[in-house]
Amino acid sequence: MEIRSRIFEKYTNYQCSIPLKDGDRVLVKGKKIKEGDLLLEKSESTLKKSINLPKVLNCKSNEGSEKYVLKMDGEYIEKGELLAQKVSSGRLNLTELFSPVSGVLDFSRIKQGYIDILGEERKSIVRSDFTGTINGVDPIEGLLISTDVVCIDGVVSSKTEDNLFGNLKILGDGNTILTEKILEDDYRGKIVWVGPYLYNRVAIELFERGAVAVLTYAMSYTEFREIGLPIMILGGFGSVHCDGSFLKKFLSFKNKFVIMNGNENQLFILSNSDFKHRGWFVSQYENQSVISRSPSTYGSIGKVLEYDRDTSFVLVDFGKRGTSLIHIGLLDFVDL
Amino acid sequence: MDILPVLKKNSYLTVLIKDNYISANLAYTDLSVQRTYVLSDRTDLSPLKFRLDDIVFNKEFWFEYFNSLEKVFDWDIIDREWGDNFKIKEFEREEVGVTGIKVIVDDNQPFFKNIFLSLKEFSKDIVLRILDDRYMEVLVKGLVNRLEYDDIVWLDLDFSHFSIYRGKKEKDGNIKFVLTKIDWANEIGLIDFVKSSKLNAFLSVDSSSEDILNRWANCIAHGYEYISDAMLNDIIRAFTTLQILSTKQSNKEKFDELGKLNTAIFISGKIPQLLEIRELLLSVIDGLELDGVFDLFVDRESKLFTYGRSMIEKEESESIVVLKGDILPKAIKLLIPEVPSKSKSKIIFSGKIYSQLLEPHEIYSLGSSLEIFKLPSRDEKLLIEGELKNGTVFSHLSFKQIQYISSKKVLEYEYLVIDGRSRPIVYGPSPHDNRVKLRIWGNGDKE
Repeated sequence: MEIRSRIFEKYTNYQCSIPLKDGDRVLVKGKKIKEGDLLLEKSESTLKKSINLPKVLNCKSNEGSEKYVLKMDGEYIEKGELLAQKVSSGRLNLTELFSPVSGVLDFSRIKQGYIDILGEERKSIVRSDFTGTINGVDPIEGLLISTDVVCIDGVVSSKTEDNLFGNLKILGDGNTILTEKILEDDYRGKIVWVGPYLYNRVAIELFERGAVAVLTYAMSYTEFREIGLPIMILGGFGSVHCDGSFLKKFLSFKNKFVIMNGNENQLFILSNSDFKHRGWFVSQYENQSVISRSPSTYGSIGKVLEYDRDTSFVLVDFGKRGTSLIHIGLLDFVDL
Repeated sequence: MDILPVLKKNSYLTVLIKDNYISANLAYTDLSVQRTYVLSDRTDLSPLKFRLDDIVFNKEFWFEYFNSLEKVFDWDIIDREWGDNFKIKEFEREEVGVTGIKVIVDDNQPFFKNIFLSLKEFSKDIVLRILDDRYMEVLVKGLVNRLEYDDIVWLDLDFSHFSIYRGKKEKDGNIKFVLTKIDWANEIGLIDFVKSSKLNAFLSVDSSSEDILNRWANCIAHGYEYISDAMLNDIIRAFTTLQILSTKQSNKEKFDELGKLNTAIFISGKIPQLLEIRELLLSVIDGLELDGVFDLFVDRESKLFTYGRSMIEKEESESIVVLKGDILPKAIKLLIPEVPSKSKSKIIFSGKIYSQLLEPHEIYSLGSSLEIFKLPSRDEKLLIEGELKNGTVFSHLSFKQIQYISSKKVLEYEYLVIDGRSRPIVYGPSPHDNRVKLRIWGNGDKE
């Protein structure tokens, strides 16, 4: 039997938390919250500079570069002041990092290897774009809520200790492979969808500009292993086709709050949905949606035209991409 | 007139959850008229991914599973008078009811605890068992006795878990059981392994290319069920060979005297589902460094996992009495002689296949190659006879002549394999060298 993979899974009353930072003020009144209600007053500062500590201090990926930092989170630092120092090769080698700008140090992304230097502070109001229940405010977890979410499975993601929380930011039209030239200055608080393919240098630029995490459909396995930053891949490695029928639904979640769970490769979007899931098991193959894992049509989503039980080969209609004869073992049945 | 209980009609459903697959085998027996069979189905759990530990994986999933299984087997399994409560339909006759359902969950299965608990919550009617090392010990030891082999080696080959179990009859009549395992903690390590120089020595494609790494990573991440890509096929062959060889080399004492007694090799897991027969044979022969005579069984439908113990226990089985012929997969007779260097390009084996329906069929095998003969499957019985030629001998067996019978419903052979490659088998040093060697070793299969 074949199980139908639910690309967008609906979870009702999912319990999660919105992390709170110093200076954030909860504005929610009562237990119930609906779209448009006041959620938080956030105190945010302009990002003056992000420094990739392991890169500057030449640290190994598992070395833990934060131990070389000489300043404290929230401390003010002057331009040219010593920020971090690494002694190596039996005290023969000294690497020093001086602050390139004056500002307040923010270590909220230090586990990912980044130190942010912030400028002047400003207040902003965050409104809810979901319906749910407030279960409480916890000093460690943040604002505890239960709400309906949509879950998408990633193929792989960088392992992160905590869930990462942010707004889903779509780069460009979400369907074009982009270079770093089009990037804006500030991606703090954003989980960024870069499009169907991610190049290393775009990811690095996004993290330098404050992104919480980066989402893509595909990237090179080698680059994924090298980068060591919070990235989730939804499709696969290498040149993988990102099908329009997936993308159309995914892009409809633009600007929604999302939670990335790197340990379980799952992305939760805080959003109501009207998906009507079909049963788990495929009873009849004809006219079912499938995604191809065959090298020539990898990632394409199509409909089954015919199934030959004797040979286990399936004739699939991929629309504009034509029809292909594919072994059933190279097809995943999907519920879109 | 009453008939003996053992002869009464019976049917039983056993489900195995292992390597992210649900393998269901429904056995039916009516021994009074010699009508017995096993219906099989496999379901890949991979599409559920991490939802296996989420609230969406619950008793409704199992209800839907058994509901769908009824349609696949065309057999009533659920008693629908109980509505949403799952109750087993009592056995009445062929296609209606089962006397019981047993679900065996492998202790290596991802989210073992969640699966086990979801089944426990689903129904009290279902018997739950765990497939662990103790289960395998009883199974392997039982098979040594039941199938009258002196030595059984069981290779359970999955990408993340390689397990080898061995049951060997000692001189005092006891069966000594040993096991050895390789476990990969995570997928990333497994994907990265393709870049290792050790693996490279076994490959016939160059693994340094970015494209190969991406393909291998996709294969592991998506859990393919079929391989159409020659490069991936080669990586899996090389990976399997190296894993088995490493296991053997680091546990030499557990593999002593392999092939010196009447030996059978059982293979199970995901990898045998993906590899072609030739690649699988190369991996097993070269990984275990075999020589001698072996019977090889590939348990593709997990019948031995699900009903192997019933087959061993015969009429004392707690579930159902099953016949050997319904449970044992078709066997491969594997002959691995020592070929003198002067006979590298000569005939090293000649023989005949005698069938009831066809004229006797002559077969021969040349040195330097691994030859695979597919045996005719129409006959109830086949007699296969042959002799080693041109100085070719079995290194630790005194005979040169082979004679065996393939019999349906008892012990049916699907292939005769003669490995005439010169020993020791040496791979590498480069993928190009391996390409040349594999071409020489595979100079045409006979059917």
